[in-house]
Amino acid sequence: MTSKRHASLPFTTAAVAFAIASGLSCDPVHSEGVDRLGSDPSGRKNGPTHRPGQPCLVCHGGQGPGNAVFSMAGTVYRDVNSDVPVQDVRVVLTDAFNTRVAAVTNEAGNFYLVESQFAPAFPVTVLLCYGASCDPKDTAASVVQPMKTHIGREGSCSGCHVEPSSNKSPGRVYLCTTQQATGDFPPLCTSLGATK
Amino acid sequence: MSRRMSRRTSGSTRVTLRVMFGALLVSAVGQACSQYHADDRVTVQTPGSTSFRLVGIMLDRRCGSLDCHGATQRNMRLYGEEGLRLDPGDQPGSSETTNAEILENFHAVVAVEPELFTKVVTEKGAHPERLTLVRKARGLEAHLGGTLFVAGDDEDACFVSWLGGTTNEAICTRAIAALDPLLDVK
Repeated sequence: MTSKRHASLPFTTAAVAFAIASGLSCDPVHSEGVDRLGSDPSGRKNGPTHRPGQPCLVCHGGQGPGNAVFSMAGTVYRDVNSDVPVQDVRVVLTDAFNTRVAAVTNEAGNFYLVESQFAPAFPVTVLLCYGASCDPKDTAASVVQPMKTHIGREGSCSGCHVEPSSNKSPGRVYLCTTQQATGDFPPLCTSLGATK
Repeated sequence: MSRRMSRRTSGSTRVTLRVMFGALLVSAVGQACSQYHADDRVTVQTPGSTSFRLVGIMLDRRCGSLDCHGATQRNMRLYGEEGLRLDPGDQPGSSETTNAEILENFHAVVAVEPELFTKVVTEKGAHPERLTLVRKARGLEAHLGGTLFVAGDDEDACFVSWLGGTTNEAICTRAIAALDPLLDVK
């Protein structure tokens, strides 16, 4: 009887350990966040161009289900009212220790940096540049757009840049604003296509 | 036989002690709860909301990004020009920080620890690190946003000067100007 009781002990211990581990690994807030994304509206297969405009780090923040772990990621659109993604935008990020990295957007407008490329000390400042020189003064050949505030902790652009804009969100991340002098988009932006 | 008796006695003593401890705990919790009165009010002494304007703008720029204290789930919630807007019709970046937003920021800062805040203010801002806000900003206490003020730097001096009763407007203005994002790409 006694030996039987002792024999069941390791099993009980393992069962309790498993229950605790399962409980710990199950984060309902994270699970809800993943579920809320739903299916990919773009219809693309998993990969660098999928789910543009969505908060990348919900799945790629280390808790899965995405395997790659990003530190910063997002999508850049032509202008604040636009669904047109912009490819080849340099997203320049500078952290509190002045570590500076740049990522380039792909055809979906997506960019991402994995933790081994950039493990920022917050706050982080951001600047978008597009064109040959990335020189703010060279308005014919470049579009330069700094983010007006810093990032305090959020690695997904659309963690804050939620569409549509509201008192809690400036809307999508965008490259182009109209020029003060003319009220037109810069020439490079005009070449990127229509607003919608 | 006597050994068995003594074991039994010590066992029953242990049970009695546990019951007594449990009763004590329940009574303590009950007493603590019974001391709450919905009508309780705290009178707070502050350096004033008028002198807070530049401090409020600096705090919003430094701490109020939409992913930090500009998020609605934060209890010390900050409003401002480029972050969370108080008026549902405003958007981040659409217009300057309003007086109503400054006042909300003032209330948010004062309400974190009203009694302690009063004590620091009545002592002319002495030992501001008694305030959790200052400890977190200086990185002396766990803060997800990291260390934002270094004791004596412009942002810290701006806030501390307000606590002391005389906002150093020159320092606050300099601190705000320095919080613009970096523009040098190359």
